[in-house]
Amino acid sequence: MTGDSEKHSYLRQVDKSPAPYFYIKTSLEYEGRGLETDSLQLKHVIMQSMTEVFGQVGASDTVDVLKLSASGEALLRVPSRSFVKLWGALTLFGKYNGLPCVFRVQQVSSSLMSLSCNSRTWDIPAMS
Amino acid sequence: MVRLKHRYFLAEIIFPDGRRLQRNIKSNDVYFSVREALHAAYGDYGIGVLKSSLMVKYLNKDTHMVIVRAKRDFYRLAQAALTFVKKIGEHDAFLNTLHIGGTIRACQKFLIRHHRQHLPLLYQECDTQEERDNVQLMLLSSCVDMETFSKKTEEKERSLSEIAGESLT
Repeated sequence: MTGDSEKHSYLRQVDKSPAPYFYIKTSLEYEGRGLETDSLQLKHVIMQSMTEVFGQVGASDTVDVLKLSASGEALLRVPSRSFVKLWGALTLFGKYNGLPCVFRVQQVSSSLMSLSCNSRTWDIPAMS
Repeated sequence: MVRLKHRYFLAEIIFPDGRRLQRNIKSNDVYFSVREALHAAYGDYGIGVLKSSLMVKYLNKDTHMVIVRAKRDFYRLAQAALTFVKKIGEHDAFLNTLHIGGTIRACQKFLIRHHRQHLPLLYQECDTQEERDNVQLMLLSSCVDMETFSKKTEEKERSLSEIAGESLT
């Protein structure tokens, strides 16, 4: 790029190839209790929910827990062909070890970058 | 309106402990074992999608042949589930799918042909002379059936060609 006016312009990148992965930001909530999950247990719960709804064939899709923050928010990565299945399974999941629980899906995206900020959970210091 | 279409699976039940034993299997046992396998493989989704159409249409207790029906939109799920069957009733068994057809009639046709082809194999398995005679008789009768069948088709073709020849002259 040349010229002064274009010096500070942003470079727009558009990717039109099929998205290999989808990313889901979610948290697991138990009824009445706070969030207490470690990544291993979370993965187990997810596999269980997939097996329940879509059986062993459905559970054979790879689901990765990329990150589990201290606040209980988990970042899942899933191949785009099984993305809808995973979302459906998370929605229909209702009980783990007899405890009623629920998956709250906060945000969903085909690129990791767009999950870095969410206007819904944006905490403005001056407002609070 | 469009008719709801089905797929029919013709399968033979194979018992690992030999097929000569007489076993008391009900078509309900087959149905439930297929349903269990479907549930294990495809979960609640598979059951929900196929339960309305899954049905055992035919069960032969002597030859261990079954015809299972499934909705055509999702017949591949049922096809996969059939291979995962491990137990029927209280017997260890699995299903060997021989033919997939759109109608029961097509499956029956295939079944007859299949049996005819496998008669010589049965002859090899015979132990006593009586059994051998029996199988030989069956072989002969099936050949006679085929002969009359081919004769009939020949006649039909001949008459057809005659009619065609007449119309030409």
